[in-house]
Amino acid sequence: MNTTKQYTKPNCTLTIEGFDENAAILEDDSNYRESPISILTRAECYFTSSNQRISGGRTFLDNLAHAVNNYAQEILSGVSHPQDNQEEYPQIQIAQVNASVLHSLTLKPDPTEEQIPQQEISLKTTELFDLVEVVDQFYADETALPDVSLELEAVGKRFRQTEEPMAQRVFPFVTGAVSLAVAAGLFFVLPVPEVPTLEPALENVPIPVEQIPVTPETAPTETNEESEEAQ
Amino acid sequence: MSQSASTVSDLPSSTPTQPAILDSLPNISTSEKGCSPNVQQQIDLLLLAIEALELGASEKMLATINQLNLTNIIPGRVALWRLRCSNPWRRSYTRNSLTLEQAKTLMVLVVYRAKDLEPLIRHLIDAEHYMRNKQLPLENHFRLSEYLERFRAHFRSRMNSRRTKIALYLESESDLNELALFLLRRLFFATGTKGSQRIWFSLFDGEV
Repeated sequence: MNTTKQYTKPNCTLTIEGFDENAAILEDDSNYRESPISILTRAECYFTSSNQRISGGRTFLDNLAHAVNNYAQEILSGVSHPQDNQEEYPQIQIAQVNASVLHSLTLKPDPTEEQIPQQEISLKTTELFDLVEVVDQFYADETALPDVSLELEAVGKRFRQTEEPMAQRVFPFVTGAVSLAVAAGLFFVLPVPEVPTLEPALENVPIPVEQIPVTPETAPTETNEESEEAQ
Repeated sequence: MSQSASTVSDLPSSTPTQPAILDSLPNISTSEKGCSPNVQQQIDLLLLAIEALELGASEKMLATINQLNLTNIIPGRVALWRLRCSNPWRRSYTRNSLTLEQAKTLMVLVVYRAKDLEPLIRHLIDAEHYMRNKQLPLENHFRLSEYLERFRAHFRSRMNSRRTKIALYLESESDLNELALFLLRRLFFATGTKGSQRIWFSLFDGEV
């Protein structure tokens, strides 16, 4: 028997349909009230204000939850990072349109199925919040696809945007390189200084050679002898 | 130097038993010194945005701390102020680092206050969309302009204008408005079912 679950917010409603693979066993359990969904047959997301709906199977729900998670994190931290490529169709992408107040959700169907057109829905921030909220409610519901859970993690350092723009960061390097080039040009123009030659008279003067004591022990003894002689 | 040493000793020491409410936020590996200045700055700015949203916000923050039994980490007004002074943008920056427990406590405070203010935040977000859509100045919306004005006033009075980044913000009113609206969106997303975890992880984006 199919079970339908609905997660509702003012601007968005997520409906999932499916059945439980262990339904026969659970029927005997008199304490069990809410039938879980372990195998999904259909998921639909309905946007109230634009009166648009998107639907699909398990891949659709997985891709929707993944895209919503990534984009919500981007909105919260302001650190943009490339969304993981969704390999299976329908692919879902959410992108910013206008100054963080308008967002667009794009659903790309399988290109082999030409009769299904691509859908694009514009979302206000409050509508996006409600979409995030219905996805979170689905994650929080332990009876709906228990194998799916919300896995959040902080984005790595490599995606951090520098506070200074590239032009400002490059400016000191360029200024330094230009000033070095200018200085090199100026020095190139300057004449090479002449090295003064030594006077020939100085060359003929013999350099006096002094007897330097080889070991420090002999030196003091000699000086002592000399002092004694002097006395 | 002696001043900074004395302020460290004044800070409430973390107790071995962590309040259960803080377990809702997962541990994130930080450096030995504690949270990074960027995380501390973000937490203080979020609290500043809450102050701009409602009058008497600091009293309500203290009441929320009492209500959530977090008084062993933040015993009073002065302790809260000292923790907030870990924001490097502040005039009264203490050069202290928040421990993970203190950061979690402040974020729980942010999330609970934001949940109480959710209808107002939603209204302001809708107002921003409406004004931008009609290409009208944001100041023409009474409630939105009140929030922006109060945020700018708080920012001017508490942040250190000698810092280049702050000086740039103080020069440009529109940049400061954008910062206020960015914080408003963050608070809005924090009010959701998993909002507390989402905003907690977003603090460390680009850090780990």
